[in-house]
Amino acid sequence: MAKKTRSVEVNGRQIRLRPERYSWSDFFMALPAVLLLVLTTYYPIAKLINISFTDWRLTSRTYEYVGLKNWIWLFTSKTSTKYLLNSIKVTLIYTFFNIAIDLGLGLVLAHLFNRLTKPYGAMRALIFMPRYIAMSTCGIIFLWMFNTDYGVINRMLEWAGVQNHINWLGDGKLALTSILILTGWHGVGYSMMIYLSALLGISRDYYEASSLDGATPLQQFRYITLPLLSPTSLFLFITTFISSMKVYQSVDVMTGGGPRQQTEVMVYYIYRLAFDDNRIDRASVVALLFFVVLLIVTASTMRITNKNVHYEA
Amino acid sequence: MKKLVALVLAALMLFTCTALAEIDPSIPTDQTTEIVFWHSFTGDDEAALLAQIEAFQAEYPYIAVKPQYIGGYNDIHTELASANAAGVGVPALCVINVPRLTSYAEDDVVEDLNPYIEAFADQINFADFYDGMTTAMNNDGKQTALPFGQSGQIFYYNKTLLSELGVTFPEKLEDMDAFLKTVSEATGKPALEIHGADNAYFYCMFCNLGAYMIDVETNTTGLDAEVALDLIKRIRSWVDAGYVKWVDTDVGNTLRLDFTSGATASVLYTSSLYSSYKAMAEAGTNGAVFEVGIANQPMGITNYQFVAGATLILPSCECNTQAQKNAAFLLASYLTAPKQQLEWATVSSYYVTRKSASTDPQYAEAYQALLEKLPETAVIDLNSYVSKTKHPLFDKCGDVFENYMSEIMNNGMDPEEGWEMMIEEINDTLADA
Repeated sequence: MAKKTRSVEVNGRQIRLRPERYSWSDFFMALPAVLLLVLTTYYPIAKLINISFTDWRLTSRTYEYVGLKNWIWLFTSKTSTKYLLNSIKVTLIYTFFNIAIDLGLGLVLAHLFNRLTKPYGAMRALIFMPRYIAMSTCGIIFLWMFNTDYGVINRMLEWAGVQNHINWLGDGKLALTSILILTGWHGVGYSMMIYLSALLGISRDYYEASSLDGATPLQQFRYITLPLLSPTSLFLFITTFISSMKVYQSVDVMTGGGPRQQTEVMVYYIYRLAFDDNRIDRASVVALLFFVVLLIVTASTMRITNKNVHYEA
Repeated sequence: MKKLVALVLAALMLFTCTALAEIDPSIPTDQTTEIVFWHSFTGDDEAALLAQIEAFQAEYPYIAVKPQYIGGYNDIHTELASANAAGVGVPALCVINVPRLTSYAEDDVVEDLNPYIEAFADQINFADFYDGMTTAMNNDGKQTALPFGQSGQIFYYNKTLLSELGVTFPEKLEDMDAFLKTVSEATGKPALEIHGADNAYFYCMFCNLGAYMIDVETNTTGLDAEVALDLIKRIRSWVDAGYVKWVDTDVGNTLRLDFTSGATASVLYTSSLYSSYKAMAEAGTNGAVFEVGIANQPMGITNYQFVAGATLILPSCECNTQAQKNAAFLLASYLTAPKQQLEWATVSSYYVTRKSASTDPQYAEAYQALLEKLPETAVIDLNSYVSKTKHPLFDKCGDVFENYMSEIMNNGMDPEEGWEMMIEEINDTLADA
């Protein structure tokens, strides 16, 4: 098949590299994986685009093509713009604070538990343990904990002198905070472990050398630890960002998007359109918009943050 | 001549329509017809249901039923919609809740049961169902479902406490103020807790004052009536005075614990919990021992009670054969027969959907057994049960209604401001169809 000849210059001499060979067998080897990817990822996306131009209700077996009607509805209808903007706002607020909790607290915990002894290992395991529990299970447990009258959190606050029971999940100002407490508790152990492994990978030489130069622990953290943790931070940032934008389970179990849509994140809004309103056509335009927003934000975040990442540890 | 031709044509059309609506009611007896039945019942309710299915299979050995618990009504809807879209895996018989029926009928995803009712007239005795229930399941003449696990939105009260205080639970809305004040001041606790996370529970009070969620003629909300605002203000004043607690989160647990521990004198919730509330209150599970009483929705200018709960539908998917659909209808007829309904109600506390269950002497013993176990069942007058407005956006408008009620009752929103915003949002929702 195609042959390419390349050469590189080494110490002023041109060295010819062996031509890269491609053969049809390479392509056929990759074909099963490509087909699987097409079938499970690209076909659904194509189908989603297709549905967005129809009037398909979930309970109906037939549909007609309606052109841009759903897109026009998305940007012009009073209710859609209201709910859409609200869900974008809620999702971004949730994402911002969830990243702050996971990365910030994860880093602090990693520093606190950065000792390779058995008691520390046990404590690390305790913090990581929630990760093993399904989010829906955690949601139900927290639902009880946040119960206004019988929840352990209000009881503890009562012992601490707060007599008025807080309506954690029914008060619009607190409901999202309650969800953040749950997801933070669930996810922080993972960030801690990733940071911990990265911390152990930083050579002690940097710290010894800086100590000789009179650097304080804070300066060491600022000028050595943080820069050398930047690839890990970038990885955690991107993965937490994407998972936060897609949050659904905790919202579904804890608040169902309420009170008054104040915890209605984008994925929940899409779900509500598709399965409560049966408007799979409208759900698909919102899902596509969400996909594009997620793609743009992730790509630009990577582009911006990549410039400040130091890969040599 | 023209008249004659027109008459002949009309007769032909009528004949064609009748012929189209007919079904072949046969079920082969020389081979097994398998049917899948999706339901939403767990615990004792499921055990009772499975026992009835066993009995049905013994009576019809050529029908094999595969009952499958799917989850709550929303889970069933999601699964059913997905299976329906795929055109495979659709059950022959399925449980679904009343509000879904309107859109199911519009989208033709359920069989019209009228031809089945006609073909299986001997087995079903359709006229014996309570009219309000069957009407709620009838969409433009199409019978979309049979009433099965029916329930209502009722008040449970602490009968022992109320007798001690010398008060009775009010039958009229106008008497609520005095009742709530007396009980709250005597106990120092809320006299009533209302399920605020689902409009189904408190909407009836608005309707009985003449304020309806949707005015179908104008496609706007009828909650813009002044009486609705007055009632909202009134409930808010009860909440502010500590007479009423508006429960909108973790509702099931909170109402159960508050009522059975004596933290409130009454709650507004689903009738299907009567059996479990009664058992807990009598056993003193949560620290208070008392007798449980039941009251209907208080009367305003009308005395409506609304039908809710489970229904039985036959999905119209072609993936099920006519014989399977017939077998499914036969099972539905069996499960909704007076004898089975009485047995089922004794365990589950769901309403008996048949008029003859309480009037026909052949069921007198079973009915007496039901009353012995759940005496307050007699308080419920199922003849006063009616259907809510049938509109595909009813539930969505209901969501807006309950959201604003929560804001007004629990988060300090001004009642008038909240009411105006709510009306605007419901009208926008209706305009957005």
